[in-house]
Amino acid sequence: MPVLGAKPVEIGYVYILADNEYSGCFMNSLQKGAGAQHFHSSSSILLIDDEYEILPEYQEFFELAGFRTLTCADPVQGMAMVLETPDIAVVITDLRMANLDGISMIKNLRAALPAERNVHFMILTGDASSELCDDLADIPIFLKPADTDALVAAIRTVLVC
Amino acid sequence: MLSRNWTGFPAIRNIPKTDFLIALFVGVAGLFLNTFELKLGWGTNFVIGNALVYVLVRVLAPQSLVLAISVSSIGSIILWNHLWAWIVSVCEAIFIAIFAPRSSPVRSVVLYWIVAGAPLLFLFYGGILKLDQLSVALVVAKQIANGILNVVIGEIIYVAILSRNPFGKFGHWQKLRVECFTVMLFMGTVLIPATVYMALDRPSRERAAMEEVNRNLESRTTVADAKLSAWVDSRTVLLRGYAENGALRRGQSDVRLPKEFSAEFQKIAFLAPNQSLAEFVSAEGGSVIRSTAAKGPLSFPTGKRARLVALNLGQARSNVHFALVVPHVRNGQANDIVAILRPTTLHDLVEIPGQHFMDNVFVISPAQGKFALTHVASNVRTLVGSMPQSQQATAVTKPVLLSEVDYDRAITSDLRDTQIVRLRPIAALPEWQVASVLPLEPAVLKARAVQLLHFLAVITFVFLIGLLASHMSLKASNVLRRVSQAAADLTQFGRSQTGSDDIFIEEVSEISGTIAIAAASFGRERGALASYQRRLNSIAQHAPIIVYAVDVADGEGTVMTYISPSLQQMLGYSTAEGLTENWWSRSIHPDDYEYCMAAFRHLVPGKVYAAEYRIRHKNGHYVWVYDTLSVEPTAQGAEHEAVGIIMDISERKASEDQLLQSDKMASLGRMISGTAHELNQPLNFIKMAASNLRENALRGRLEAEKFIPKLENVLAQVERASAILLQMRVFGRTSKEAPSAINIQHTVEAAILMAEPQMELDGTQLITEVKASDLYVRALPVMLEQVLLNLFINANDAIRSRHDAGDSREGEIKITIDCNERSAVITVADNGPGVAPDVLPKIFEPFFTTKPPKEGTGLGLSISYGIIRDMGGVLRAKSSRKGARFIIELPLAETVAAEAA
Repeated sequence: MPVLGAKPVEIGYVYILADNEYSGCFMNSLQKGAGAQHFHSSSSILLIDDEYEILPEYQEFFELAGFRTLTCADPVQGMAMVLETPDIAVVITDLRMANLDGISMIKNLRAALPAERNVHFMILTGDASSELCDDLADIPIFLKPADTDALVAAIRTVLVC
Repeated sequence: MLSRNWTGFPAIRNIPKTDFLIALFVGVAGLFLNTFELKLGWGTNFVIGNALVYVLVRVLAPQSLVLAISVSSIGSIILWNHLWAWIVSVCEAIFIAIFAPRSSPVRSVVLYWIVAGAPLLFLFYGGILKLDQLSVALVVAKQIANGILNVVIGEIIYVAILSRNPFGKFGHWQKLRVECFTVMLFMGTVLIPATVYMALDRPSRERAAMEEVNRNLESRTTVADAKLSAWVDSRTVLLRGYAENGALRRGQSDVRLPKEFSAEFQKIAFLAPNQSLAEFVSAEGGSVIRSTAAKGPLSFPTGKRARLVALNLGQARSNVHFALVVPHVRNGQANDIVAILRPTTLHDLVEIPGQHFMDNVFVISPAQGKFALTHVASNVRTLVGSMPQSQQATAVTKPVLLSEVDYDRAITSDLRDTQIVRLRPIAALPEWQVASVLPLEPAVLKARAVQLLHFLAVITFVFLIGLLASHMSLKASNVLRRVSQAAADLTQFGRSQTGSDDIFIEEVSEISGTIAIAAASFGRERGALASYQRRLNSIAQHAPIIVYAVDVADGEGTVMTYISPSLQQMLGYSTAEGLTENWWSRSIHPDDYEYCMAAFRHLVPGKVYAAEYRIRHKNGHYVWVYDTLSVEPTAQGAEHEAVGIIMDISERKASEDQLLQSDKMASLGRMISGTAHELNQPLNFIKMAASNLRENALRGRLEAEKFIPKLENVLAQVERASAILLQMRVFGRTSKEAPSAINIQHTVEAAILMAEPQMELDGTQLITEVKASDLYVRALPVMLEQVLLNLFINANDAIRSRHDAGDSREGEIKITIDCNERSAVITVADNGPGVAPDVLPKIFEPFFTTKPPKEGTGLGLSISYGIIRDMGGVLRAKSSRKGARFIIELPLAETVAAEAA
């Protein structure tokens, strides 16, 4: 459960953080027995994309796929969420974002995360020309429009492991 | 320089007429001056008129100099009928005219007298006129001294003139060589005082010589007078005694005279009482000679003093007889004794035995022109007899010169033939005088010998000093030349300075030392300068640029003063061709001419001007060049100088079309990748939404209120995608279309439409302000659109870089459409960070970019600049802290109405 020093208010499926610091971030608890498979009850995924409008669609999609899902439109706030939420095991991020590009964010997170945290990163970008530097070569890249099946398969794979 | 042959005589036709006129004028002036002689005694005179001509020895042409001397010396022919002197003078002038330019005039004249003058004079005076040795020697010595003196005086006057230089504009007044000056000084020092001394000393020397002769004459006449008086006294006593003894009877003549009387007297008689002497003489068949001054009756003195009386006896009336008349009283009656002298008696009395008659003493009656002595030479008779009354009176008290020839005006005037005469009244023979004539010759010869010695001494001094002066002057001249050479060596790097031990003039030695020191430091500086220059030359020669310098006056380039040899390599012209007048302006491509002239107009110091244009290669084809110059004040300060370089940019130009295309391609790539990303966003959205809809549908959750917003979102995303694709439109166009008059506003709107999607993604606002509408320019719309797009993208990139740096103010790009008199003005201003001042001048340079690698080709602005320039417009950039501003100025299309219709 998110422990962020502020009590989440449940509105249907969606928790809206009352704390202003987290405005714009959506955190939903995965409903058990909603017909979706449950892999790790404690694991959740975070999706970061600065395109504000699409976040609800992502949320819906991943929850339909059976993942506990958090979304965030601001990479800086997303970083703070990853560091402070031990549940987050998978981070899916866009690359071209206004405040902080995805690669820098991943690098910063990898440097900042404690050793016991095993967070998997994935990239979901619309920029076909994107190439990653060598030390990020292990990160899978998914191009928009997203191949939803492959993306879900990849998430399942890392969450099972 | 006039063309000259070896003699130094220019061809006559090269001599200006004024030269001859001046020569003629100076010659006449010299002739006039020559009539005033400087008397040195005994007829030896200096004439210095020729000095006036020799003043101009450096100014006149040689022919003119000879002409002037032949005029000024012509007096020796006209006045003195002395051709030889004239010839010698003219030869002197010719000699000086030939040698003076190479030597010094004074040295030339000395040489002339040694080599030609003296031999010629010996020939003329000794060989042809046959003068005696002393005279010839004297004449030669005098002429040598006079000739040299003239040239020396001429030189002194020349120096005096040169120091004031009042005639500088007439002819070329050469400066004196140190040699000439030294020789002149030495010669002047010897000759002028010697001459002045002789001239001043002349009267006293002449007087002394005359005095000597006069003393001789005076003693002779005194002795003669005394002898006569004594004789008269003694004979009076004897005759009286003779009469007392009764030897003589009154009224009768005694024919038989005693022996002691017969030697001296031819007759002794007594005058009868009351018989006058005249009566007695006429009775004897003669008459008494009476002076014209004493017309009265011959009266006897009342005293007892006897006296002589002149008589005419016999036929020969010219012969004068003298009678001794002794007053005698016998028995209370006057019984005067008359004793008629034999003709030789008186002569024997006054004559000095053993003397030539010419030098002798005789008795004359100047008043009547009578000579008492028959054997007085006729020339002496003439000389003495023709003496005017005034001279006769003078001769009684002082010596008088008598001469058959008026030598006073002859060059070789000679007082030797002159006689000197002295008269003395005879106490015993009133109205008669004792005269003595002596020739001046011995005194003259003596004086002349002294004079000759004097001249010889002077000439010897002159020659010796001439040698010394020549030696000194050569040495001084060598020293000065060495010093001047040392100074000249300063201009030649690396020449060693020679030692200066033998410089004997203190100041010159100091100068030499100073020059040596200066030379050393100068040499060092020159070395540094030379290597600096070598480097510059190497750059100018080998760099693929042309370096040039142009004089600038009133803001316009006037004369090209330097162009580097690389001109040959780049454009095929030699530097000489490049420096010919108007080479540059004539070689510019006609199409670029106006543009070029405008680019290099109003040149102001401290500013930099540049232009790209085509210039004709010597082979005929045109080469694209980049020409930039800066104007600097020159060292003189009065004028400015522009220094610039010309670079061959034909390769760049040739590839510029390709570059335009490649930039287009690069932009295309960027646009496609950007567009793809942007397109992927709506597609992604659509896919997610569709996928969710499908999932929900599969699960049977078909709630309309949930579905409809999703579908509306999908439709919005499709709209967004098609807008993004619009911007690809420009790249489908070809640039081969002909430019036409287009409405700027439409083009700006089209560009904005293309750029807007991307700008919106970055949150940048595009604001358009139209200050002047319906502006038409002649252009290809697609080109202008590309320029605008480039500017928009740059502006947006700048705003984004500001955002990256943490400044999150909203981006804004403001497009203003305006116009001035001839141009449409489009301003694209952003509120990005602006362009750094050091970057601003470079932003239009090809391949210059401030963007990270891969993001910019560095060609966008450069190509935009080229496009606008090709349209005849200007693209400028300005920057402040508020942001950057790009200003496009395009000439307004002229046929707006027609095209618009």
